[in-house]
Amino acid sequence: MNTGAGGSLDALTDEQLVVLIQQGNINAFNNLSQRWETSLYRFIRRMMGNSEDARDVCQEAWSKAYQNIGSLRDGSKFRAWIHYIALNLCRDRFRSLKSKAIHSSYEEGGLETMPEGGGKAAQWATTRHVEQTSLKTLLDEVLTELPNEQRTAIVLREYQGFTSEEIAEITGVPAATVRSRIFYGFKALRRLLNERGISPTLPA
Amino acid sequence: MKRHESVDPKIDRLVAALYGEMTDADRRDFDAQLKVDAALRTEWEELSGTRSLLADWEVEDRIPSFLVVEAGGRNRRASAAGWLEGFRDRFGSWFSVGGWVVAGAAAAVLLLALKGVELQKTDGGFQVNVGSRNRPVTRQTVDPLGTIPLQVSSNGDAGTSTAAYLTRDEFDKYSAAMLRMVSAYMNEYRGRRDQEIGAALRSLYGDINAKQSSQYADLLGKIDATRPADRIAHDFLRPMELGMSHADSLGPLLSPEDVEVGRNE
Repeated sequence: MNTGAGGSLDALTDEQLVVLIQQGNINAFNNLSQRWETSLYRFIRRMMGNSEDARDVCQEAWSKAYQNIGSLRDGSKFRAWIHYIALNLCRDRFRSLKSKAIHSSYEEGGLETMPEGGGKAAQWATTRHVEQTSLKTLLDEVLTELPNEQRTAIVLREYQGFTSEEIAEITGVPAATVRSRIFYGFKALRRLLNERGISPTLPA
Repeated sequence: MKRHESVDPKIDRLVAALYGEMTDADRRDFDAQLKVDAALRTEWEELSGTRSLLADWEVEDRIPSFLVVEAGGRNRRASAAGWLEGFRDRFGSWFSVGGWVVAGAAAAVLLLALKGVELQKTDGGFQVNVGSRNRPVTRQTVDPLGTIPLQVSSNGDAGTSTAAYLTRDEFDKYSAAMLRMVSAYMNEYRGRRDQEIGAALRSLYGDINAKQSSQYADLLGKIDATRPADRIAHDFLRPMELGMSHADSLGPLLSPEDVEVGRNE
């Protein structure tokens, strides 16, 4: 196995690179991180809902991966493993942000309030969101409103391309539960979009 | 350990079909059931319709890099701008005092001085970005020979360059300007530090002088108190204090046993 310059490492599998890293080859780690940094960042970004937190979590995830890669037994599962690390960091960050949000909402007099009354509120939301935000921004917003488990399952399946079985490994639940979370996540997503005046339909 | 939750088989099949996680035989059964089960068909269409929207959920941020560099014979983590970490190692004490403030100021100045170059603080150090996300520097604008890829600015958009390049001359110019700027700030910092040390020494010298004068006055007071009627010692010491020698005109010296001097606090 060639352990030389980064160029020759491109041809190696994740598993082969992990072996080299565990032997102390730094270039192998850099090659591996370069291979997955875009995918991992986008996963974290979709989970966190903003770039600032995503960058912090991303740096921390790679740092933890570098520190702990010696304990990874099956190098072929590196991609799932780094997502597992990132997911746990996202959860930690959510807990921290949630705690801060509770304090700041009291200190700053609460968040922006909607008009009272169901009908008016719905109309206000529809007008506001459809006119002022693009679908991309809207999706960014409504997907972060999903429960963490549902958002995790959807993001890992839809955007990261993991199978339900692989997501089961990452999240520690059965594959059928993963599919159930995806289903109910889609239901909730549809409802949230409907509340904002968008009705998802099957393309013709 | 995996938790077991009860899952509706119908839901399981819908999502498995949506993502192609079925055997061919199961998929044929599912398709056949779709034709006869209106409720299942409605669920399927809603699910597929919602999924089709997700293609619009793009992430267009610049992707942060993570790089491990080897420095000083040991492995350590660093950002893409690992030179700053090495710089910190070399000037460790300087940075420990407040160098990051100076480095931050230098970075801010650089942002203004180097048009098109963005220096961004990250957890691991600094990230140097070149060009604009909207109007990235393209390969066509520079000679491909002798170019240096300083950073990768990925916006994920097809049809636009995802990399920004500097020519060797541009890189040399930027790096020279960067070093000049950092050197200037270091010199300024050293100058301020020298001034502060000088002022501290002068203050210390003044304190010592004042304390010595006070102790001396105290000593004279104790001598006076010991022999209030006899001014010989005082009169003898006073000329010495003034750098004079009137001993001959003042008569014999007192012996040390005749003078009791208390310990200064």
